[in-house]
Amino acid sequence: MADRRPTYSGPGRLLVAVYAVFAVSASARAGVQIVNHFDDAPVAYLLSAFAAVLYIVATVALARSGPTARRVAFVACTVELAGVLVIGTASVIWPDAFPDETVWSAYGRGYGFVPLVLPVLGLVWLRRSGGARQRRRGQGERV
Amino acid sequence: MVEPLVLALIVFAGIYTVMALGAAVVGRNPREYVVIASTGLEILVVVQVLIAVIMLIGGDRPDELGTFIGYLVVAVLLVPIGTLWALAERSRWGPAALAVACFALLVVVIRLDDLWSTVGG
Repeated sequence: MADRRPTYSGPGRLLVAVYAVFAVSASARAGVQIVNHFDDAPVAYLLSAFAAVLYIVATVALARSGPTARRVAFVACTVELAGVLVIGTASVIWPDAFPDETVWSAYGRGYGFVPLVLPVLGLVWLRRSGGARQRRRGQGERV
Repeated sequence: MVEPLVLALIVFAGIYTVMALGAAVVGRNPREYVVIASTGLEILVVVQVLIAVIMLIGGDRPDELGTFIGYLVVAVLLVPIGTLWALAERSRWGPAALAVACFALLVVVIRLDDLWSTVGG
């Protein structure tokens, strides 16, 4: 356990920074959309708010240590990845269903595809930083 | 917003972003210089934000007042939080994280200046 690397150290330092920026900007944008013109595109704005909450959860979980934080981060990143893939695909096939952009529209094109890349990096980092123990166990089984 | 100050902030934040990225690429983490540079940058930010607040109190109103105030708050918090977060790391990833905060500040300052341009118009 001791050789598990905290998710906030090393490359995780950068990952959490990018996640934090996304968490703040996505929350602010969703907040402004919902307060100012919720009726224009309620589904899109609720999706934006949902994405914003996920970014906040992922940021906090990745910035903390311990198995629970790790599990929460894993779930948040997985849901994010599923969200960006499902909503991204849906927005390409049925553009009319999304009258206003969400963070995930067209796989996050409006945000430089960062919404697509972030959860992948998050999952890869969770695996690599927690990998020491798993690798050792794998070798132990082989012996 | 005061144009020379905005320009100084954009240049400072831009150079700082590039230098932090450079440090990350070559694998350095000059933490003592980070403290000095971040302090200098934050002083500039605070001066600009105070001036903006005084102008707001004085009756100037940008179109999207709520968004403007939100950006002001974020502008003040970005460098201190980003710097503390980066200083906790001794590897190259410290400056890399710092670069994210500096670039975000750059964007926030440009957005603030953008929003302010609607004052009186």
